[in-house]
Amino acid sequence: MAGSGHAPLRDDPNVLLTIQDLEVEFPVGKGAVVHAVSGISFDVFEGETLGIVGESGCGKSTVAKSIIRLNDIKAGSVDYQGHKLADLEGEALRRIRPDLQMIFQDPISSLNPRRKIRDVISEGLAVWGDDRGSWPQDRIEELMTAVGIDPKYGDRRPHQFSGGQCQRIGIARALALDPKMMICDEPVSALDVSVQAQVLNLLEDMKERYGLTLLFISHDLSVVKNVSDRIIVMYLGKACEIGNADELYEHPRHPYTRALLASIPEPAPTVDPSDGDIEGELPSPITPPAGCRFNTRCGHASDICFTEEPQMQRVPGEDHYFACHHPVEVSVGV
Amino acid sequence: MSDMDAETTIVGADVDEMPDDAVEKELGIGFWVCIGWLATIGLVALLAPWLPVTSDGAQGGPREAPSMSHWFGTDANGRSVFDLTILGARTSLAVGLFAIIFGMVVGGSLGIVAGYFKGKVDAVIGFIFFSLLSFPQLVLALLIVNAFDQVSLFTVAITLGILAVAPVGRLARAATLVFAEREFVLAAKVIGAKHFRIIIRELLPNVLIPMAALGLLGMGVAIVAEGGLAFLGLSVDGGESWGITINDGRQSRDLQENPWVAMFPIGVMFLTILSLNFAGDRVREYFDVRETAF
Repeated sequence: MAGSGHAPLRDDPNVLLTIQDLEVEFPVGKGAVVHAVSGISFDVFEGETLGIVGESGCGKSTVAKSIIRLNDIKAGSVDYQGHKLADLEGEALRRIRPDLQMIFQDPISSLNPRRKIRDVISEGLAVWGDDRGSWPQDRIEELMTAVGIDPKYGDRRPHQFSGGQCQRIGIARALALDPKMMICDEPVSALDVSVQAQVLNLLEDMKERYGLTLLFISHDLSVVKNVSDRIIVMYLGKACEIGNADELYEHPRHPYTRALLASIPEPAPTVDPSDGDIEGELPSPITPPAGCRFNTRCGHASDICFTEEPQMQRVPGEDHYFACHHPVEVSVGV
Repeated sequence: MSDMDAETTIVGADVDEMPDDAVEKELGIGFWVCIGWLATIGLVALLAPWLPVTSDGAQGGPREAPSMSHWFGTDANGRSVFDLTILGARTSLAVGLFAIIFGMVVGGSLGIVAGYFKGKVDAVIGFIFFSLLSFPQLVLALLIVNAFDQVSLFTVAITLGILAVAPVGRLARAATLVFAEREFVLAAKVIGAKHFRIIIRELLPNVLIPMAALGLLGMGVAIVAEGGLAFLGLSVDGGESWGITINDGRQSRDLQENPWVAMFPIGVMFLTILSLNFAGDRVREYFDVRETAF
């Protein structure tokens, strides 16, 4: 799974964000580094919802955080409407950040326990004043109502709310700055299943209403499938398959994608569940396997998979790209 | 995905589930007894100039036992130990309070800055803390006090304040490290808040609570330390403090024959330190809301 190469990048005026050859490493002491993200390229259209799926530890959150520079980027570029985010520092970076807001995985931890939620939500306005101007202070209540929090609870503190409510408050805080793009890092993973749907609906609703572009990260394929227009499947810091959500779900070409899909418990599976056995553990990202990174667990791996990294290639005629030496053949008539 | 209307369906369902106001937490009677004692001592110390107490000259014969006219007895010079204890409270409390405020302001700022910026800043500040800690505290105190010709209240307080910098600072740094990784701090960064704002609005309110608890304990330590300095004859020149009075009371055979000179100020100091420790501990517990990491 290599997934290097620029094949999935689209030359189109609607592109809002382009990531090229992004590499992120974290030192873990004694000179060792975790290769969290190793050369990933993709783009996002304005108004699109891009889903990123993969196992824990595959680097999907790191990609998200790299975009708004919450971690250091080792190499590669992040291009947002002509701004080279990877090269920005200090004040220039601070000025661009409100355009790209983030929703975090742990809703409780993402709110300061010592602040009233009204202050939490209006923090962006307090920071930027009239500079951005979209949500004046007196519209905070409107915003709270929009995300489903009664404004009369504005003086309460986060611990008095449930996880789902906290996530709504986090969404309101992000929306207050009228962002272009929302990066949702596992926004529903910590919530009860019954609340997940509510929060997902809210995100969709807000996306419609405020014309947002969403980057939606999750390890849960069924969640991602429901919200995404396009999906990236990641494995060990690389992209293995990128494509239109429906196309990718119906005709997965990469053995890993296929295995992931097969692992969703579904009454009427589109792939044979027996296809889906991924054996063994995720290899260490400190010493990732040579060649295709999936080779240690792939049933189709041959010699070339251990020596040569597969490049991204396009499925002819489709918005669908994969990186595999032995792609799964699409059975005719599916 | 169903077409649920976010505004109606969800608002109703969710808001009705609002839990009642946070469960009433109690500080307990012990806490209030301690606060009562501290308030009394503080008030008496504050009002001492207007109270009929004096340290000038003898109010009675030397070494008189406690009586109705001299509740705590008198010392070798015939001065009332009760008066001395009250006047001593002024120095002892002022020294303790100032020392810990100094420690919290200087140590706290350094610690938060170190924990927030990490890297080189942390390395430099960490080195300062370790230097302060690896120096024998008593020697450090002696050095600073001896650097001044006249030992004043301010000198003693500053000395003890410097000693408080490292422990308070290390606590502030540790607490900051925990909170700086929390997502609400990341969220503030993403919003575009400046470093100063993040430190003041997001970190300080959270770090202040463990610091306040330590501050109450630290004030007790500072009062005891002042007593220690007094024991070495290095407290405020020509002034009164609990330490100085206790030191006077241990001269020659006083401890055996007229123990009240030392024991009354020791008792008052003991109760005060005990109250500070107990109150500090309760404050820490009280604010230990679910999600805090201490």
